[in-house]
Amino acid sequence: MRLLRKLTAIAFAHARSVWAYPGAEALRTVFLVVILVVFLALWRTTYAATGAARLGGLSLPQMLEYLAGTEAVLLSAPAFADRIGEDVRTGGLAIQLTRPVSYLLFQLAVAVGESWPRLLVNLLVGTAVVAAATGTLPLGPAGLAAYLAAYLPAFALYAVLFLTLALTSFWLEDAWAVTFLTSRLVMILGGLLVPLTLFPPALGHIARILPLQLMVYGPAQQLAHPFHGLLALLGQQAAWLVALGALLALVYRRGVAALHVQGG
Amino acid sequence: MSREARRFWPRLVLSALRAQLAYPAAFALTTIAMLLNDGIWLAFWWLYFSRFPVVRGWRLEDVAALWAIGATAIGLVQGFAGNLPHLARLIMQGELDVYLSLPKPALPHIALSRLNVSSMGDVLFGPIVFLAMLHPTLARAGLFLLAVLLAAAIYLAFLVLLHSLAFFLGRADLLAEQVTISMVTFSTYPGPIFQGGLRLLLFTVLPAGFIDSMPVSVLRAPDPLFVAEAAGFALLLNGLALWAWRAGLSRYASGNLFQARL
Repeated sequence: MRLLRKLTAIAFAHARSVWAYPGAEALRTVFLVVILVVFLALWRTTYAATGAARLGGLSLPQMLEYLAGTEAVLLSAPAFADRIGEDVRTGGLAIQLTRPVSYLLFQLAVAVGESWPRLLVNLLVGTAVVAAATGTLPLGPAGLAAYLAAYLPAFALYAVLFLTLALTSFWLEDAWAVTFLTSRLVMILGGLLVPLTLFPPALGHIARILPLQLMVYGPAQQLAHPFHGLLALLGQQAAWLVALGALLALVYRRGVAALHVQGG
Repeated sequence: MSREARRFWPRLVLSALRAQLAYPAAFALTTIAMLLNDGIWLAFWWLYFSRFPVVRGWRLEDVAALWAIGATAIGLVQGFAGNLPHLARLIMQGELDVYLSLPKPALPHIALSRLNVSSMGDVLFGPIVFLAMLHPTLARAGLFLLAVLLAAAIYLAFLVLLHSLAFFLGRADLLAEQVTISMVTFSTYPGPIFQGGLRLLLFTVLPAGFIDSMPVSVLRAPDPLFVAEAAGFALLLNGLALWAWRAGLSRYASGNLFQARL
């Protein structure tokens, strides 16, 4: 209970530091608006060219809301590699490790504090753009509830995977390349740019086996089809969370053992 | 330009390159990561065109050409003029003093003093895609080079103009970053999907329209009128950027920072 209070305080402190500059946060949503305008142009052209009312089971407004949902996830994602790499390079890790809270839990609490408010703002801005562009409001209370229910474990999965990759800084000093390339794989195989239902069958099959789609495609699909397959999704997310969580614990233990801090 | 000046600029770039090559493994890893990143974007388009083969007359090959031209042009500017994407911050923090006190022209001196390693992957990506996917011949290589140079000239001037806003607005670094990302994003999607007012915007305020027209109007079906328009626009934008830089510099107030350039 005491630990939870500590972690909540850390998360709130970082949320406050993010929102200390609302103008800067508002400017961050510019890219979201731009990418949705681009997607609107691309998918409007595609729907018109094919003459289809639905593609991959989604109407045009649903497709755009889906893409707003996937972009909201990725644009709110925590930047573990930058922070942990900085700690390793500067030697600040020596101080971080002596804090009365686990380094991993500290990083997760910081991520929650930074990411969750950003996700809600991004989702709000994305939905507003879709509504303005299509004249319909594809996001209802059911869609929002199902999305958030799937987002919580999706966020945990994303955080655990990228925290594990960021910990390779303990050996590599800079994990930028590893995390950068994995984030690009999330974009493609996670269904960030194209829903899995539009993938060629073989690639779609591979994407469904991997956990990347549980972080992006899973929650975003709930926006269009609320609660459809949600229980199965939550079960898959939980199973992968256990597996990746065990990997994270192993990498962390080995990393701390391998760490050699100079100076003082 | 004097003989001494002609030697200075290549030496400056080489010295920035040598500084980065001091860490060869990191250099190679970052370059490869960016190459793979561009490849993953191409994979997205392969995925898209495997389902929808033609979009307003564009095929996968045109998008590959767009990425080849755009990545090389933007990579050349951001890579070798690696300080340009940081120019607004340098202006805002009063860090130009060290360059202004030296006898070389400040703008190219600032721009070329830093080499951005990740852009080297972009620079390599274009020629690789050209050779692998775009039916290379000597004539087409010439057209590819022309498209890259035109796109680079437009992007270079756009960056200088955008970052010079910091002289007038003060804190313009975040704005410059977001507008630059927008410019790059619009430059990497097929031009014909943007219609109406947006198309007009992309040929004026955010001139990505010139870049995303290059695959068709320079490489696939060369259009001399378009090339002349793009070259004229590049000249105009460069003139405007130089004017904005000079006008801004006359308002610049020193940051009173003690800095040394070794």
